[in-house]
Amino acid sequence: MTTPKLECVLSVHSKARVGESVEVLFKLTNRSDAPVWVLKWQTPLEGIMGTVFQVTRDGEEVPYQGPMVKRAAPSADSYMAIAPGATVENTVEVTQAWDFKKPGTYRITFRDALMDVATRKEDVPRPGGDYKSTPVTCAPVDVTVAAR
Amino acid sequence: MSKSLRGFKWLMGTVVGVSLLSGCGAPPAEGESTPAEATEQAQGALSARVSGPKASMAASERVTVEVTLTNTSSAPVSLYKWDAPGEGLNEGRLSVSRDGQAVEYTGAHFKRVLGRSEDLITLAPGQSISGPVVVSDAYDLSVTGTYSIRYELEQREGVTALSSNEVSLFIEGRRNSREDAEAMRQVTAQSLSYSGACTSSEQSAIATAFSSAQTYSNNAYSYLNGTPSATTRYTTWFGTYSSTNWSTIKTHFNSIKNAFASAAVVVDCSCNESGTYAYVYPGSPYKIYVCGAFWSAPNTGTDSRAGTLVHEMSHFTVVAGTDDWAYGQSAAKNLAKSNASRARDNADSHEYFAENTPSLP
Repeated sequence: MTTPKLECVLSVHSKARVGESVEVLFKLTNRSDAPVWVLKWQTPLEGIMGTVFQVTRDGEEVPYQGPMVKRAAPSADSYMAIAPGATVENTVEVTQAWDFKKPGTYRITFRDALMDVATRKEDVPRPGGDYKSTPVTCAPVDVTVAAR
Repeated sequence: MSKSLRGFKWLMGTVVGVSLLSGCGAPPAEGESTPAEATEQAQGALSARVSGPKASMAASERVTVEVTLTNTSSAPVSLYKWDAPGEGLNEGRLSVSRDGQAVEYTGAHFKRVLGRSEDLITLAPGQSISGPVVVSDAYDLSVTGTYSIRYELEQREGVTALSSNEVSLFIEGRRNSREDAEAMRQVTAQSLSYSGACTSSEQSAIATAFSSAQTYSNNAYSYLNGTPSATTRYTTWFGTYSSTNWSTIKTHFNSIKNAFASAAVVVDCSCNESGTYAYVYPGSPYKIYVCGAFWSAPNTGTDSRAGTLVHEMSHFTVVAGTDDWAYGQSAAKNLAKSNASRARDNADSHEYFAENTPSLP
């Protein structure tokens, strides 16, 4: 079994003002020639249910304020299928989970791995919790927040 | 997308705006049935109107007010469906006072996933929505008196703050679930209390789990207070041994056991998500929300209620500040092998170390 090739892209409007929402688009593209099933946990594909991003302001870590969730075993619904060449995406608003109230340049970085990626439908959900964590690299994005 | 997450909502507006209102309502005449209604007040794009079914409510009656929101602007206005009246508005956007004194909100606090378009309701210019809002399940109505009730919405994206007219209702005092919770608090651990409408059997189960979590964290600390070495128990969950690494985990469990011993822990039962054991907001100690999977779990052992409380306690920034890098025993063991520094920062790894099931030397 080869490691599936997944391409990850983050995007955000590079400028915002204090108090405005900051929406981050997360896109995951399957660059292999077979379908994959991606566990949505700890990715923006399910919203912000944990530390999906690391956020810094002018290089300083901004503490995460959203929920941290202990999960029961995943169901098939916890996965998202991606056909060869297809892209899945979701937009999340991040200012409720990280404090963007101070002006500065915020850098948003996705985690460096997906918790589980399956290449066979029968592995969805993964039996026995034997997840296959799969590295993925999204280039970080910057948003400059100006005072009102 | 995921159906399983639909019910899982993000906390917002934890404290419902309870402001001191003037207790201007005169006690109504006995048997009066005229709807208590006043003129609506427009403020920004939406206006709100509250009306009561009748002016006087006996202790046996459920108290409900009718709330109507109208878009008085010339553009569409979107708001979250849980801010709108009708089905789903359980966490009142009500401000309730009795004889000039603010009345405490005692109902559940809901956790909202923000920013999802499917949660938005759009009102066209001139359009109204209305529906009932239950007062008696959510506010402390234990004292007989004249209650003043107003609907309020804080300012948020796209919607300006608004406040409705005020209705006055004469309400006969009744027992509320809060009193039961207070009574229960006195007979359980002094440091443990409940929110989010935990039933008495749930409170009892939580108290048992809390006590077991204290034992788990005390035992884990005692173990780590022994001579440090690359024990099976340590390396299975936290990977590469060093005295520094051991000391990090010992510090974590010292904080966890101290928090269980003396912090004012609140366990909230308002989450029913079956795919979730529990969650916390790491910057909001020491409130732990338990969900559907918590109730299916055993009190002790792997992924137990007691272990879940240890997991959640470890997340608080002021305790051990752990994150979630891997879920489940299998993934946690793999994490210990592949990335020990993340294992030391992983909540489930702490839980499994504390549960120690099966027991490792």
